Amino acid sequence: MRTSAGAGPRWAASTAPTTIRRPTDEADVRPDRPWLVIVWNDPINLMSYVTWVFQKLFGYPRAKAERLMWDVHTKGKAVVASGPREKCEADVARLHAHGLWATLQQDL
Amino acid sequence: MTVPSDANPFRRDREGFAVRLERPARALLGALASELAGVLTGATADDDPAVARLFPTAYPDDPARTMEFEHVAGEDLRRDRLERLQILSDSANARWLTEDQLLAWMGAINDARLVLGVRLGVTEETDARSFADDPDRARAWATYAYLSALLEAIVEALGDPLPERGSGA
Repeated sequence: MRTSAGAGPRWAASTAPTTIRRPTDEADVRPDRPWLVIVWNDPINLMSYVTWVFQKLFGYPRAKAERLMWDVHTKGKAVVASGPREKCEADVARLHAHGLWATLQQDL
Repeated sequence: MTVPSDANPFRRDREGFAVRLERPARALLGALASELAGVLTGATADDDPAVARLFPTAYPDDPARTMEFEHVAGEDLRRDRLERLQILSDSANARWLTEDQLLAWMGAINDARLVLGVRLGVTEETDARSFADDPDRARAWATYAYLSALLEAIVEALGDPLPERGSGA
């Protein structure tokens, strides 16, 4: 993400989701392991915009939305929501509609 | 073209937003809207990395589920993007926008930034000096920077959003 439209502190290098390890135990069929919605850092989206999108899509208060945005920025990614797969897919689709780089994975 | 730092060109006015932009800025937005619509209808994620950026892989470790996701969500996503571009194109010269129209501008402008950003290979380190030797790319960078300022202004004008229906994580 970029700090703002103008010059500012530089974000860490872009972190593209390349490989997320598949759960090692393929026989693990516990149905209640929640799914995670993950947003990845990218060099284009603006910090203020990402915060706004988290508030809008998930109803988070600004402070929580900002904290998640900073996690994405400093750690390269953050889990922004979790739950059943269908709900998480809908969340990912809404994040994609807003131009954020979002993926799904099942909690390990 | 600049966004004056002391005057946000978007300002809440009655149930919508007053828009104060100069004619060249409006012409730019209109042109970008049709250009981007052309990209979206003419290319796929497979043959254009900029389009791929608009439609990220939902399950990086699971091609089958990703295909299913794209089957279910992909067409809606493409149609919504084209709708936003149409709204931007139709209202580029408007002096006043409904909130829904401004939200469409916001989405369309960010999509344009994403496509330009991928085309330019923007990284966290990119700035105007990165394209000093390439007038075409320098112009594209200037457009990108202008759109960034516009987006920042829109986010500020909108203020804290009301959550979408059905949201909550």
